[in-house]
Amino acid sequence: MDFTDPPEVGQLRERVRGFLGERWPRHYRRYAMNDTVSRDLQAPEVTLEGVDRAEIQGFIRDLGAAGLLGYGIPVSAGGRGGGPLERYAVESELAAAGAPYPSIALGTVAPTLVWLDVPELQRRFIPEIVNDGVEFALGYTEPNAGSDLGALRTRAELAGDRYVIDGQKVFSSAIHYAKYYWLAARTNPVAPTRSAISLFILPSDTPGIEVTPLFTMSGIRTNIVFLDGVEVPAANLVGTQDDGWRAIGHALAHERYTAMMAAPLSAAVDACAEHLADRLDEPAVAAALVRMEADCRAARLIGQHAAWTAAQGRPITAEASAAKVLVTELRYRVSRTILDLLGADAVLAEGDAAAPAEGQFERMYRHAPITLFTAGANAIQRDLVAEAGLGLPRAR
Amino acid sequence: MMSLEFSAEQRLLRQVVREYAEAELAPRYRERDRNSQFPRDAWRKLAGLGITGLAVSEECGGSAGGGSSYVSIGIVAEELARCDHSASYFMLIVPIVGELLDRHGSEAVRKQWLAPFISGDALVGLGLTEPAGGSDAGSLRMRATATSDGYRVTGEKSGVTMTMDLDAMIIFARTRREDQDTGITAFLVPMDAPGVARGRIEDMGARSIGRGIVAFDDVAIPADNRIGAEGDGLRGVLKGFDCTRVILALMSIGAALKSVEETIDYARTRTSFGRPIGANQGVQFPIAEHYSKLDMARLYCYHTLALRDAGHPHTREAAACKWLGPELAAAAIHDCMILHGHYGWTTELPLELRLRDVIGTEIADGTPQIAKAVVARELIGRDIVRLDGTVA
Repeated sequence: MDFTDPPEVGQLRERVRGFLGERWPRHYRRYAMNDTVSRDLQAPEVTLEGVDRAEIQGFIRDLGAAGLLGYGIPVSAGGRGGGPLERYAVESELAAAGAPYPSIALGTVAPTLVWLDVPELQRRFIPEIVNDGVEFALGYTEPNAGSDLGALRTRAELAGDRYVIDGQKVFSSAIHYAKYYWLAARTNPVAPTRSAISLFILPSDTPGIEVTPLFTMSGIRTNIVFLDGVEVPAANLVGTQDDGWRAIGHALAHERYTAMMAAPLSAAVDACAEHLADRLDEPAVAAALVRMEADCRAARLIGQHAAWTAAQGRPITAEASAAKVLVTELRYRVSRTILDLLGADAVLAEGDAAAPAEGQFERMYRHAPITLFTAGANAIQRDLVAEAGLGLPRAR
Repeated sequence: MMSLEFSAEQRLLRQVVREYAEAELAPRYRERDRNSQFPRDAWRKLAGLGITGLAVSEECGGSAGGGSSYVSIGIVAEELARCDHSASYFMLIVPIVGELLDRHGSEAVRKQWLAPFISGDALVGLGLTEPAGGSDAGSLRMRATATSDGYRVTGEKSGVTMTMDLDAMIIFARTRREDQDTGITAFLVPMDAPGVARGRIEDMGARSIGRGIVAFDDVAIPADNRIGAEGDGLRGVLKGFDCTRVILALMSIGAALKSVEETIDYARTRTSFGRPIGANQGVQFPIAEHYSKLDMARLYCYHTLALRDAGHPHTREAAACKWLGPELAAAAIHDCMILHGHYGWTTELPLELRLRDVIGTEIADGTPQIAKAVVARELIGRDIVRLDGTVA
């Protein structure tokens, strides 16, 4: 059994670390545990004290220019080549440092365009992602279609050379700053779910798209999106009409082990240990830190194993779902344990001079819940592990 | 025989407070959190209902003495917390400040501060914690030096609940008289006394109530404002914690049970895969587990308050309520939030707000670690368990 990276993957990790060392300021790494910079700061209305937005945007572009985006995407499709292990290595290094990258574009859009073998769309969109770090927003969930995504009602009707889309989406978290919208809509009103849904790519500023903000416990913004007579060229249909369901499932499985990384958790545990440096001789403190560190290491191996399984070309539904459950529940446990360890000051928020780690632990706790239901609620993930991994009877 | 039923009067009290809280507090819970807006109207309303004097003797204008005051205080705390957890913080000062001023206040203090406290015209808080010591109350550093007509106090109090809206506060300081240390003494200090300055702390939750820091720079305090005998300050307040620790637990449990009720409604009405999500055991079991635990903890809290009403010892029970109640409540609200999916995490629903608020009750009046140490001390013995970590 060999848990080390193959040499070329190890070298790639070193390259990413080298780039981060030069281009990613150390003081931004304190945000690693919260995705604060990697997610929020791309949105125009968010500002963080001491964080330069132009610097963040420049970093993403430089990441592309340095050739570090697009691993796992074949060169023939506009990517950098390599496979799931390379992609996992790059993204886990970026995540560990809290550095921003277009996670939806790289994790969902580009791999799906490759998997569906749609050269025209690959030519149009993958170079922008790989070279410029252009981001997409996901448009799956609706008010009455979350875990039960097949119940979505947004309609797309073909009218000549374009589709006209009407409906409502919710929790489209990145649409207020992403360039494109990756949208699922019903193209067949009577067929069963699996042959009724299609995927589209729309510029986010297409007329008829109305975005309403929805704020969350961590302060991160998500959105409600109303689509009223939105016209999209038929050429922006992804793959074949009515065949979007397979692609959604495929992309979600990959998102579950790449978007939910354990690496930022280790960063949080390290920061906590640093903060409690003068209390490390307390048995309860030491035991909690060791337990968290051990759990984080195990979670990283599980994520890496899912990437390795994907690299072997094996099905990863159960692997990815298991990794998602383990990492996200660990994230909540770690955030909660850190609050306990810090004592009364733990509840001091960003902006209070006495807040430990400038309030990042407090915010980590408020941010942790999202991962328990995003990319498929953990209850659904457990069903998938039971069905796809263990062969148990279907639960729904 | 053992009766676990509330009296007719208590049931009526619960109903009246619930109606008020649902109509007046719940609709503005979110807004007050967002704007850090203090619910002063709720304090006046509690006074109008006779609740602010529940721990004060009849001679001093209150209604204590019927043998069920503390259970009643618990009922009000639970009901307020269901609709606005922050507003339920008033039920922490009702017993502790009411008792201290009633039993240990001078005639002048009772007249000037206890009467308006009961009538809802004055808000009096408590300042024990200092920047250098929270859980370890005995380590406080604030100094009060005796003068010819009173004391002069210098020092700082932190983590003071309702800081920015208090009219006066009871503080605890180390007293010195003729160069002799005379122990820890309690004083009432009006917030507009020269030399008093206050500032707000930015917290995760309880933002409408707020906490803060109060600095005392050589503040002159008349002798009449001493609460109790010199050197006898901690005894009263530590006994008061045996009450507030239970109230904190009931506050958190009230907020959690309300969340469970909302989750039950959601489980019945939200459909997925063609049926209510409540048809799934993955949804049923967390609801059943949290309800079972919370309901047991709730009964234990009322049992403890009934012990206090009857004048029986209850330090161990109060500390047990304190660590277990908020912990169960936070876990329940967290799961309720997750069962609501992404909606639960948004600021459109009160679940995330309750969770942020309830975490404050886990820490207040002694962290879980301190509460467990108190339980252990009561069980294993003071000769072996020392709260300061020293070996007996």
